[in-house]
Amino acid sequence: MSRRALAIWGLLLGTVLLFFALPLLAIGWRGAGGFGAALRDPTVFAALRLSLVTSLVSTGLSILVGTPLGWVLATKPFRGRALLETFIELPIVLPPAVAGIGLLMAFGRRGLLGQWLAPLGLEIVFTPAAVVLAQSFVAAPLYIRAAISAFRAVDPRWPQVAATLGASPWRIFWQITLPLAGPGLFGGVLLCWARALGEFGATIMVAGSFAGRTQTMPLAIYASLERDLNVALALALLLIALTFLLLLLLRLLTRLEHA
Amino acid sequence: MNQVRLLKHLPRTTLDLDFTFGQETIALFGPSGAGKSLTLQAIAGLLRPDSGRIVINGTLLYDGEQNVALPPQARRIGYVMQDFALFPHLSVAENIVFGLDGLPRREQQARLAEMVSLLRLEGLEGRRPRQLSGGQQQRVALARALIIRPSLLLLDEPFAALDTPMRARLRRELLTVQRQLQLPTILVTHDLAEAHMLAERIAVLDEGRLLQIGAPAEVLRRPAALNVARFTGARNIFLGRLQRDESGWQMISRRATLPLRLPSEGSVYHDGILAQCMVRPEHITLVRPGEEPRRAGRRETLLQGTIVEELDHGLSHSLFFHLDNAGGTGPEHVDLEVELSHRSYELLGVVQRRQWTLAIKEEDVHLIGPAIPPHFEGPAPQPLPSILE
Repeated sequence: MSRRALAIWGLLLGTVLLFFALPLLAIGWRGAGGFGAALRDPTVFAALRLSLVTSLVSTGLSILVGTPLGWVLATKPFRGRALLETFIELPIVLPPAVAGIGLLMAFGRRGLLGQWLAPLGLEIVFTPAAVVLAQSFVAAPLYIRAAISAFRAVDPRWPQVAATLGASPWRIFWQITLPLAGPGLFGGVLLCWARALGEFGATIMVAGSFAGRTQTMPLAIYASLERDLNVALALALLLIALTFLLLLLLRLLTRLEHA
Repeated sequence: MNQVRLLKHLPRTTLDLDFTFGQETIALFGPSGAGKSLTLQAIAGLLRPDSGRIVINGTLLYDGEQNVALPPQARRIGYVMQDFALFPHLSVAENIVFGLDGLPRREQQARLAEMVSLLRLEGLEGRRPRQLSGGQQQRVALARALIIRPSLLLLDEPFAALDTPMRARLRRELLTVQRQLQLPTILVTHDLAEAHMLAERIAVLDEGRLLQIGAPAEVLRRPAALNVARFTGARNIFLGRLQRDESGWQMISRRATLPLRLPSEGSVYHDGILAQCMVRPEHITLVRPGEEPRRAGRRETLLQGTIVEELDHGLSHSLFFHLDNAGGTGPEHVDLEVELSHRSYELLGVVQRRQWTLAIKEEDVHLIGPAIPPHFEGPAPQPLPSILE
């Protein structure tokens, strides 16, 4: 490579790196000083706790529903399967605002389903349940999609051999299919969790931003921006650390899988 | 007695088979796509036929009319798949005892020890499949299939994943294990030598159909159909008319390269009938110069020919002859393929000599399939299967 080409490539790479790194560095630079003090702000702890609880519940629900669904979609051919798969993937690319208004129209007090739930005393909108609803709506498809490809990657001959050796379908699933799809499923869990943790748009529309009740970390950052910048920065730093850890875990996992 | 009768329509082929077998090894032999593996899957219960009947060791596993279809779990059939399909996340020992779930632990360990010593897997119990050589993987797969004490063993190309020296050794080992266990076995292979060595009978499959089933020597010597002859390596196939003279039956080839003397026993001939016959390349003898008079009176056909092409396979040679009295073909046309061991090739001095007298014993000429009846008057000379195709 000529020196000139080297210089051009170097400049390009440097710009890109700077573009991505600068905001993060800026948060660290501005936030480090007040970090300790900001952590003692009750909003931070409340938001952190709410975020962890809701995102874990959403992820748990996604696993509970998505694992059998992913298995069926991966292994049982039926009419309209491709269409269904596409439909499930839709929320991944849907703008969060669209997801939010959709959930309002469905679960709102006058929504399609909400109007029947309201008389029963079941109000979802503006409660922590709405946070979980919004997070699940946008994050579950990531897990389901990962589950489909993880189950599809399990060579069908393994469950077949297991069947000839007398293993029941239940035992085949737990002892053969699930362990072999495990790394792929776990990757899906991490992606799903990270997405749930960062959910903002749909949450603010369906759940609002009530501190201690529906104000998750991304919402708390937005809310504290005007009140106390240090709190916003501390929350941002916490989120960066959390998501970075998740990403690192994912990377280690895929490396383990290829080995 | 074991019975397999199957009909299954699939997108690309139709499986339509019917055969019975006893305490023996059957080799399913044929080109890829013939339905060999699908047959195994149907027997194991992994593929449901449209109709038919499968009885193994007196147990009815499948009957389309009675609506019986045991799940694979209830069939007790040991299935060694191609590339073995060992469970990659389990150790060798865990793989082997997988089928013993529910038995007391002591019983499991006893049977594991039995299998480990039968298949010489000592010291490998704790390894993962990916830490094993191909041969070891095959033995683990075999142990895993045998430990459930199956009433039938299915082997799908068990040697395909192994290199040649390993293959020869493991074939011998498999033979030993088979003799010890006395287990009916169905072996899928597209290797004729393997079928010949391991099986009591060969079933030749083509496009989902059974062309012939019989002892290896019989399938090789008396193919029931043209494709059986082709798959089993027959090269010299002739179409001609049968004719009787004072010394016996002959076939007059349309290309007039022969009359070929036909075996006087074992077949019923009809005068004037159209038929196909074949001569295996290794059954044709090169006659030493000057020896022809001494061969008078033998029940054989003598032909004169010139070598127009040859291939050196290392241990053997393929010689391609143009016959002197071949009618209507150019001097380079190949009429006959002869296979010769390297030793004979050297002893006869084939390198120096191109013109030979060839001898074909009458018992080495085999009619293929049913003869075509005499009233058949097809459109004049049918294209003959070229011996070099």
